[in-house]
Amino acid sequence: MLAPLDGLGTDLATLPGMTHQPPTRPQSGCAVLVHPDGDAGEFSAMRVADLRKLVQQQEQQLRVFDATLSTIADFAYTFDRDGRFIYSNRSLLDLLGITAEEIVGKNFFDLGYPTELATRLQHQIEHVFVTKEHVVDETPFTGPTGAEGYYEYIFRPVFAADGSVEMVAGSTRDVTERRRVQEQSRQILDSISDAFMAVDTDWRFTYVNQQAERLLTRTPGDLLGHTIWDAFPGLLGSSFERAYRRAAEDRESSSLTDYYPNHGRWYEVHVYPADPGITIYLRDVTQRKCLEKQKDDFLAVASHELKTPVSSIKAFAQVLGRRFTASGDMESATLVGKMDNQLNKLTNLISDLLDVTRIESGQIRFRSHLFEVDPLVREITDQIRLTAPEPVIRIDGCAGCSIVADRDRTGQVLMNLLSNSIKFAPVDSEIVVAVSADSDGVAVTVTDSGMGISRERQALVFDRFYRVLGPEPDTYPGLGLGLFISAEIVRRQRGRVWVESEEGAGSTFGFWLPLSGGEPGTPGDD
Amino acid sequence: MTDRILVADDDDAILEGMRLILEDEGYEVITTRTGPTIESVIEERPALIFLDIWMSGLDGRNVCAAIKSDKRTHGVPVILSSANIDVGRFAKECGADDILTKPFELDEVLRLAERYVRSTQGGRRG
Repeated sequence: MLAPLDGLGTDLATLPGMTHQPPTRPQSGCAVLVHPDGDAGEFSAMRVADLRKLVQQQEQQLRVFDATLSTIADFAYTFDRDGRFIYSNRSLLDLLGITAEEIVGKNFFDLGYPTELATRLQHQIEHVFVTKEHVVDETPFTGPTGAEGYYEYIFRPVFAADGSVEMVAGSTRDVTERRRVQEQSRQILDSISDAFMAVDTDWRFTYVNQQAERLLTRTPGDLLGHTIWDAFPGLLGSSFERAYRRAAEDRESSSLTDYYPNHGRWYEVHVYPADPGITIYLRDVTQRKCLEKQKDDFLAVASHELKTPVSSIKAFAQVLGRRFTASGDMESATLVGKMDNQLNKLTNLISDLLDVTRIESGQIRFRSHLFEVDPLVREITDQIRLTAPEPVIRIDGCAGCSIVADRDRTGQVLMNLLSNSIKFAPVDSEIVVAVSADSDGVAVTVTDSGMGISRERQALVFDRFYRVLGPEPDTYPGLGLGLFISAEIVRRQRGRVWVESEEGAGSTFGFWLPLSGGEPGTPGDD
Repeated sequence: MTDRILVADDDDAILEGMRLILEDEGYEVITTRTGPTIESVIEERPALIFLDIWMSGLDGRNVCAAIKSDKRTHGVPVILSSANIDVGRFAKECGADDILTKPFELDEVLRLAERYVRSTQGGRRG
């Protein structure tokens, strides 16, 4: 149903894009219409019949216009200078439970809107008239029928030919469902323990969850709409900036943990490309990093302190051994020799602990230089034969070349692989050390005929603290660090480690190192 | 020149162990728990110094650098000893002549003594 027409021009002006001025209704039966482009045309001596026809055409257009607007779920309406309804489509009338005639000429107070909301809407309409700028806002609203909802609305100026605002046209959309989904998402994001932030393509914060506000000690007002670089200038030039840019520009997710000096804290960050912009998950790991450092420091000091008494015990044992030998007491000399061997094992365990500490804190250093592989293999094999005469160790093949790597560390890897095989190989079996070279590097494998490793466990053998379980907890001795350390030493020299095995049919552990895995003459090179 | 060797370490047991190893081989050993000073080196005139890096309140690297930068003492060989795997790098930085990694082998101690004391004197004493 149409609202009563209070003058043809006024209602025409409610049509989108039409800016007719209210016409004066001439007493002579003539009307003066102002053309939308401002050119005036005078219709003199227009016959009343023609005018009536024109009015009928306009009223028909308005009915079409109203019918069209009433097919949409959004509310569409216009206001006059005093904030009174000139027109409303069917959707709003249905919500309010009133007719078109009842709404025209009424403002929000008349329609029984809550005073606070009515005042705000009234001010916003006034604002559009004064500033000629549109207003976008949202509000919860409960209609007289009890229907609750959340609404997003926009008030736009309708300009007259002289550029003044003649009326305000608006539309309102029920965004209850969208808000509900947003609220649900917000609750989920607020309930996660990580800080979460969304940044748009201009690097402006578009969302910050409660954890992020707490963690960064900022309010949403400090962040929303501001760029990440303005809010956190310390990010510029940091590893965080590089990760954020990779996510935004290359669409690459990444994770990193680094120190942020401006906060004096360590953050673990996961960055993902989003549409639009990026999302950032942030966790303060300062306490964990402090504990890790304490642990690393403790292990480093403990390893050093443990080695000191071992050094003196070893010195005493060796002096005793020499004295027994000199006096011809060979039995005592042998006993002291065994004591010395045990001290070497103890030293190796301490060294392994220290190595793990260094690997985990990224402090392991490689002193790379060019060395021949074959003599190293022979040297390590000879060395292990002294402490473990059985099983037999056979060297198969040769590399016949040199590589650039840390010789001591590479020897340590082979020693670990051999010690590991000896632990599991039957005494009367044979262990084969196979050496070969290709155009890019050198491969060394150690094959035993021990108990073998199941496929599932093969994936774990290079993990830290992994130990093979036997019938008794201490069937197979060791801290479970040797293979982990070996794998790390090889990987950090750009090589690779592997295991091939079958349960009950022995195992082959191997490593491959590139011809130039390390840079010769790097700092720390001995 | 003598066969006198100065051993600097803050651990008494290490000092005793080193003394036994070297004295059994006929060297004269003097020890210090607090690290040698330039004056003590000039006074004692050791043929070789075994110098621990981590001594209580004292960094052996600084002591070594001081010995090596003083023209009265820079000719005295200094062997830097430590359980630290980076002892080789430290030795280069402070101008030490060689390293002894802890825990050490008796043979290694004697090899170093032989090399830096006796090979320069053309014979053994004791």
